[in-house]
Amino acid sequence: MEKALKITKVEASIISLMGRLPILSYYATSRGWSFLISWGHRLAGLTLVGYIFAHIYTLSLLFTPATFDADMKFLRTPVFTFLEWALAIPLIFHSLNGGRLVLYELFHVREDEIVIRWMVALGLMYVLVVGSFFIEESAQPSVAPFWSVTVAISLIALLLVFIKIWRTGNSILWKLQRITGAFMIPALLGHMLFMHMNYLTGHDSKTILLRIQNPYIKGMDLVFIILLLFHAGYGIFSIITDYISQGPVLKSLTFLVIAIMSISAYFGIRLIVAL
Amino acid sequence: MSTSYTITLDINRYDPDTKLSWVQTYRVEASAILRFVDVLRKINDEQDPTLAWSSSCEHAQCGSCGVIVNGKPLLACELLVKDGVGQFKTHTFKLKPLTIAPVLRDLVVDLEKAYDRVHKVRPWLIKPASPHPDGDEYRISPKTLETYSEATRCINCFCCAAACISTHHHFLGPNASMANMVRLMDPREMARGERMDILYREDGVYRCHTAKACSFVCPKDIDVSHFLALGKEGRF
Amino acid sequence: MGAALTVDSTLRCDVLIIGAGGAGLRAAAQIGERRPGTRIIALTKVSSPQKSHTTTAQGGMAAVDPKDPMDRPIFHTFDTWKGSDCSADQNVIKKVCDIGWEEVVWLERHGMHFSRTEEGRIAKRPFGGHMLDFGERMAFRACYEADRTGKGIMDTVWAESLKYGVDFIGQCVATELLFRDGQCIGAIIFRYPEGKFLAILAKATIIATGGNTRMYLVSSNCRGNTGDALVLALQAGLPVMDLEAVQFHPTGMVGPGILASEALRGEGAILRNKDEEPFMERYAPTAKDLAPRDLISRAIIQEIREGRGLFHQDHNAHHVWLDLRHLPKEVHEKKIQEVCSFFKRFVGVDPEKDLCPVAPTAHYQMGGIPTNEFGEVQSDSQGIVPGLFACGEVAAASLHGLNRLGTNSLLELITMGRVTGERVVEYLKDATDPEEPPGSRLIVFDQFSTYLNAQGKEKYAQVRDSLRNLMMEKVGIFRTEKSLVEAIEVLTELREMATHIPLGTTSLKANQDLWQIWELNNLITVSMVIAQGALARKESRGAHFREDYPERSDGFNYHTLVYMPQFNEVTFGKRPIDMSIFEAKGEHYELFDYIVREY
Ligand SMILES: Cc1cc2nc3c(=O)[nH]c(=O)nc-3n(C[C@H](O)[C@H](O)[C@H](O)COP(=O)(O)OP(=O)(O)OC[C@H]3O[C@@H](n4cnc5c(N)ncnc54)[C@H](O)[C@@H]3O)c2cc1C
Ligand code: HEM
Ligand code: HEM
Ligand code: SF4
Ligand code: F3S
Ligand code: FES
Repeated sequence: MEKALKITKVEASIISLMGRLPILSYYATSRGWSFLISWGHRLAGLTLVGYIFAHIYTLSLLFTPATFDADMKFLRTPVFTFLEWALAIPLIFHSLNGGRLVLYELFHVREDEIVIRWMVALGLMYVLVVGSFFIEESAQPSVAPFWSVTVAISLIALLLVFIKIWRTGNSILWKLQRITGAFMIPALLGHMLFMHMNYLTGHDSKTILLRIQNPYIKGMDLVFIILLLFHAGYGIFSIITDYISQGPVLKSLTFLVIAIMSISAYFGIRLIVAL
Repeated sequence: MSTSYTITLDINRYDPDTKLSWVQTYRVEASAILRFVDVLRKINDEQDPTLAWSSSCEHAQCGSCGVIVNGKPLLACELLVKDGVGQFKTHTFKLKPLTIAPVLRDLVVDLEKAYDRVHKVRPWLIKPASPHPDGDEYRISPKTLETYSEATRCINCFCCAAACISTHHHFLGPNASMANMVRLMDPREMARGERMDILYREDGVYRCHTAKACSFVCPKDIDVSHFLALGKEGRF
Repeated sequence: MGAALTVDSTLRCDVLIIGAGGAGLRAAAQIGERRPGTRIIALTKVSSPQKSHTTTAQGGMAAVDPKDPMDRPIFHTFDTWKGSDCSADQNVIKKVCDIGWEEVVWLERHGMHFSRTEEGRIAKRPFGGHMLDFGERMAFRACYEADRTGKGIMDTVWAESLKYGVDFIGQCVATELLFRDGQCIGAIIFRYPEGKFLAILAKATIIATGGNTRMYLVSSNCRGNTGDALVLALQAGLPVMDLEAVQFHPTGMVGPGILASEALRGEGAILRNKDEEPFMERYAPTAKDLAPRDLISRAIIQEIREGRGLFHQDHNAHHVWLDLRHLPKEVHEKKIQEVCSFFKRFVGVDPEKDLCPVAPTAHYQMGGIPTNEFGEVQSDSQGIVPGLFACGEVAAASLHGLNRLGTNSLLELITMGRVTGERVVEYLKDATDPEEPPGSRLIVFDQFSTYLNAQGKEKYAQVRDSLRNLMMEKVGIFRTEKSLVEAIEVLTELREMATHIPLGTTSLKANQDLWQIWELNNLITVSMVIAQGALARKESRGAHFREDYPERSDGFNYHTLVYMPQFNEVTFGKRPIDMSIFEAKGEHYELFDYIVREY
């Protein structure tokens, strides 16, 4: 049984407010909040998968910087800016909740309510910070320290999870999904922050191309895209397996997922290597 | 007499002869302390003898009477009318059969089929430890027992399986997986390799996404997800 | 109803077990262990054997641990004899008490999760009527798994039988026994989901269908405990024994009668009346709240009759209090967790803070299908029916006589289940596959046709409720000649009415209505035997209490056998009480005479 947690007044009112929304209230009373969070995790994961395809596509426009810049200009309407900012929500939610799942399943952290409280608090902060960058657009990130710290933390996270679970009898792919997830928490959150500290870092072809010449950045992005596509691929496979029992259909779908992810990886890697 | 409520039940019906399904509405004047099985019996007695439902012990100990009420899988024999009204904040209840096996008629599902999944985890001691030198019982400290005795309370009502985010198509299900965990944690079980194989089957523990609906609905208040997580963690 | 009823197909096996509860499956495990490869089919009314009623048993299973420095099997033997009010069979008591511990160890070795002492051994608690030194002090003899001992046992024997490849057929009822030349060769069963009849031919058939007290308004029994197998035996011309001995458990939760285990009192709970007086001190000065059940049930009714009971508004019923407030939190949370949750859920009281309302509830049938000490079914006081065995609550060997001590039933299931399984293995040595039964018309087809074609105005609920009220009032804890004669009259009417109830649907598939009406008829039949037996036994003994004959009488030192091949065509027989311990004149033999029963 979970340890009882004193819910503050603010939290109580948030919960009761959410509990009044139609679909949420139905599942909150019939399956519990964790069930809703799991659906949220799934939907957020799928959103990110969708985004990554689009992302690789737009990045591939960097081969003709003019098209890329034109595209970016086009995307710079209030609607798209808002969407870009809104992306931080599924991102931070999936990341932190992924972290929570890893803690619950593998590190025996059963004080879920406390973890969720932190998740919500940190998530809100993150979304607000990213939002403030959108308004400010003037922070000058110093690339080297930022990325060395981020990469170091990512590797530590990866290592911690690796050591904890590698010896369990779980399937290797399953373990790798957790391990890649752990790596991506700092890496991906850092990526999004970094790209918005200054508008140019993320949207100006010259700046990007300049940065990408750096072999460290290249190497980091390579690792990043591979881990991410594996994680996403296994995630989709995992969802499919929930609905489709073993047999030819499952086999073909699995093949399809592998194919799509490989093609994406090909384009993604080519892009980084060739630019 | 105690207070009573006028409640409305929208019940999913199914006729195995015509293979027709429909929703039928019953209005019942029910005393607050009636269990839902009593309400169903009352419908049989006063309105419709053909409505089929299932129960046996009628005190939450056998797991025969699982139904889905307003989306929540629960035991019809343990939900009092007043608690139903309190919990769901309504006087209208939608009753559906559990989704974990084919429906036989109305609210009755073929639990025999659902049990196949429990049989798959071989709930007995596959290879018992050698007996105590004195020839009597194996010694187990209360501390050790306590780490898993909670899980032995499961009555296989399949409410958890019906609530789980992972469908039942390709998952042993929370309860069957937990039954395997019990034996993994039982110091008397020596067939650990075989137990691990069951745990880490493709339809085993990976199908659990820690949605914790199992723990949420379990009428025995078993923290099922805790035991499944122990499996992933390899702590047994 | 157009199409004629037919037997859809025939299955063959070595052993057919009618009733996959604790007893039936202990027998199955024994056969599987001793004779690997035996084809066993086990039937149950519920969807899985695990849901059999044994799973609801709470308190414990008695057995004397040979390592216990104080306890000895002879004390347990004596307690059982005394508890039965000198009406159990001594050969059976001795056998069961002697092998009890072996069986506890068997269960533990096969995976049951008994509660443990600090040393890691199986924990034990006191229970009503179980005492040391021939009734001097409380004995710690009930081995338990918290307050779900029956579930522990059921899970264990169920899993063991799965391991031996027993074929389970769930959601079915055995509707008729099959015989050829006086030998039982299997049964006809009716499957609920498909609404089909199957014949199962077997070399040996074991009846283990459990209890039957659903004819009482307040009962701890499950919905399916309707005495079907007793009716099958009666229809086959076989006798049933001692059915008048119905045990009322003193502490049913007020209202539905859900059991509040004796384990609560074993852990120290106290019964109190309106003035919160611990009244059992007056009725049983030594044993107090752990006196045998019949005594306490009568004491509670006495308190209520004399105005010291209470009245529960919601449930419209009288009751007394069970006080659990003084028990340590640890006990509430670990040892009696299940029962406490029942009080919270069904009665809305918190046993840690509130007094709990309880009243007697019909609980256990001491009588049943008469068997010898090997589980072989008897055709009269001597003869046995070849190929037919019985064990568990449905059988009367008789370990309990006219009153059962708590925790002795689980003990009986497991020991007699094993003994019966052992006997079946012996029997199978020279048994051959039975031939098809002679093609006479099946009784069950007549019954079902009657129900399917019924056109009367009677209502199922009305007949059921009349029956349950009638039995509670007139054939309950207290009985008189007048009440019994009246009951028999009304039962005859009810039986007539029960055959005229029109069905909601005449489909055979998952027809709950049809199934329940068949059960109702069985209940009425069994009620008739109970009433007839009670009328004939003009004495008070154990659970059978006649206000007009409040004393035990040596003239009735026998078991009642009742034959009733047709409804209410009753003939009586007698089976002597086995006195082998007394007759052997060994140590303490004098205690096994017809002794006075005081607690
Ligand atoms: C609430 C409760 C608590 C109890 N607590 C204790 C205790 O603490 N200690 C103790 O010693 N005893 C206790 N008892 C008594 C004991 O549990 C029962 O006597 C015992 O479980 C009966 O076991 P059984 O195997 O004979 O029958 P059951 O377990 O009842 O099994 C009977 C089986 O037969 C099947 N069946 C019945 N009719 C048919 C049919 N017509 N066709 C096919 N199958 C059929 C049923 O579906 C079931 O599977 C308790 C009883 C109750 C009700
Ligand atoms: C940022 C750090 C991330 C962490 C910590 C993380 C963690 C996790 C975890 C633990 C799971 C397993 C959930 C389960 O099946 O039980 C998961 C699933 C998944 N992840 Fe991630 N993830 C991260 C990033 C991403 C990204 C960037 C994507 C997409 C591009 C993604 C896509 C998915 C998908 C599709 C699933 C499957 C969801 C499901 O099974 O319901 N994740 N993630
Ligand atoms: C909306 C804000 C984002 C912006 C502006 C942005 C911008 C960029 C840019 C400019 C690059 C080029 C490489 C570099 O400069 O390091 C890049 C690479 C990458 N981004 Fe993003 N990104 C954003 C969000 C995301 C998100 C949410 C994800 C994950 C789902 C992601 C995943 C990646 C990956 C995997 C690469 C490496 C691409 C490759 O190797 O081909 N990005 N991003
Ligand atoms: S874990 Fe709980 S909900 Fe699931 S089957 Fe067991 S008792 Fe029912
Ligand atoms: S609801 Fe299902 S996803 Fe896992 S935690 Fe429970 S089994
Ligand atoms: S009927 Fe047994 S749990 Fe509800």
